[in-house]
Amino acid sequence: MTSTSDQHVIERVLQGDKRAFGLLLDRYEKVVYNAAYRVLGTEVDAQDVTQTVFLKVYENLSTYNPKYRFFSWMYRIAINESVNAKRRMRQTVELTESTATESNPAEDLLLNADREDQIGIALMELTPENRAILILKHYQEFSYNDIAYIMDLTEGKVKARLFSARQRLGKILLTKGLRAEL
Amino acid sequence: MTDEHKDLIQREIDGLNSTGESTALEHLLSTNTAARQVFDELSIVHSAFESLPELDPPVTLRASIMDALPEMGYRASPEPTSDSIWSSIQQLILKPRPVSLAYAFSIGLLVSFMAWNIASSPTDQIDPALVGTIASNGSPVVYEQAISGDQDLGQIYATVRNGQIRVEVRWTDDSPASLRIAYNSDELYAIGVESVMGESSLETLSRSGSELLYDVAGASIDITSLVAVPGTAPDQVSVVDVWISTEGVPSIQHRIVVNGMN
Repeated sequence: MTSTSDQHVIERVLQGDKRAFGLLLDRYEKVVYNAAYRVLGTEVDAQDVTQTVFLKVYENLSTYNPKYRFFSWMYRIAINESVNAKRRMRQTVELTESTATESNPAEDLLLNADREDQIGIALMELTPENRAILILKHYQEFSYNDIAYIMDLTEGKVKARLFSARQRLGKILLTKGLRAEL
Repeated sequence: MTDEHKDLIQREIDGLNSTGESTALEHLLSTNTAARQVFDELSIVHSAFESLPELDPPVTLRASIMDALPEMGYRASPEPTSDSIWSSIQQLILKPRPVSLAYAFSIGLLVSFMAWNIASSPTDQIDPALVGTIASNGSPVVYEQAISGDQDLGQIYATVRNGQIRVEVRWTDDSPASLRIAYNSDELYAIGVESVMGESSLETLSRSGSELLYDVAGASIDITSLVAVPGTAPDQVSVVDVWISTEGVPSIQHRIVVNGMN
């Protein structure tokens, strides 16, 4: 069984068929939402970013170059939006929280959370860029080449950053004793 | 540990190593403690992601995104123009009133303009052979046309009975297609798909008061859609437009003019 190609749907949208955009939403809303959630850490933020991503996709659809996979192009927007949103949040937190805490809040949470939550919390200890690259590789199984396009990096830098992000997260998870349970 | 060792470990995690490379890595891990530690750190990440659940977005998110889509000036589809024109004609037909000579002349001009507009608007792409009239209180009662591009793609049948217009699309081509059924009148409303026969899938993209939009995946599907009229009017004129598009073939438009809804 085949389904209408993304390109065919895009052509319909560009011909004024706004409702056809719903098909792209049906296909990709969930993956974008999940990627945003893993980068941002909350459902509310993931919802906001997912909406922003799809509005940007719609607004920029005429600039989409079919030589790239639509999924990769859309993901590029999604990752940029998620990482930038997280950066903005971090800046806001830094500006509003003048009192420094002795302990790391993420580590405190990690000790008390369920296993799935522990992994999510551990992820939040990484930089948004490192979270994004792990999500692209482990969640969507993108190739190094795809990740290079999505994150605007060379393939060599993708490998190096992926390695260090994996190592950093792995150390956190092992330190928290997750090894045996996994 | 060298960069080559790191690369070997990462490629193993990603399933990219050849058998020979995997064997070399096994040897490395059994003899090099630092490499073993790094391998364990990277492996646990892989396992961790596998155990993360997928979340469902809120059910309202899709609708809120669709509602927020801005007007981008993408090329307008033809149907709204014809809809509004037909609606205006319908008003004139259904609501005659005493008129002065000047008023009648104005209406005449307006109707002429509308007729010209129909002919010259994007709907002039309709092949006249694909425009048919059916009526429940006269003959013919069935609209029947082949859907043809360079080759036969299927058939469209339409009937009117008991205040309902039944549109049946038999798509026999192998290509995926999109199907839009639109109605000209606010008085009509789409009930939806009455039946789908065949092994292919049908995806309903949208279903509004006057329009149904489907994606047809694969071949040999038989879709029957219904549109209902709440109050039947013997003199009512309704228009049903059916667009079929598939990859590599320009959109094909069929128009069914329905006289009387009894």
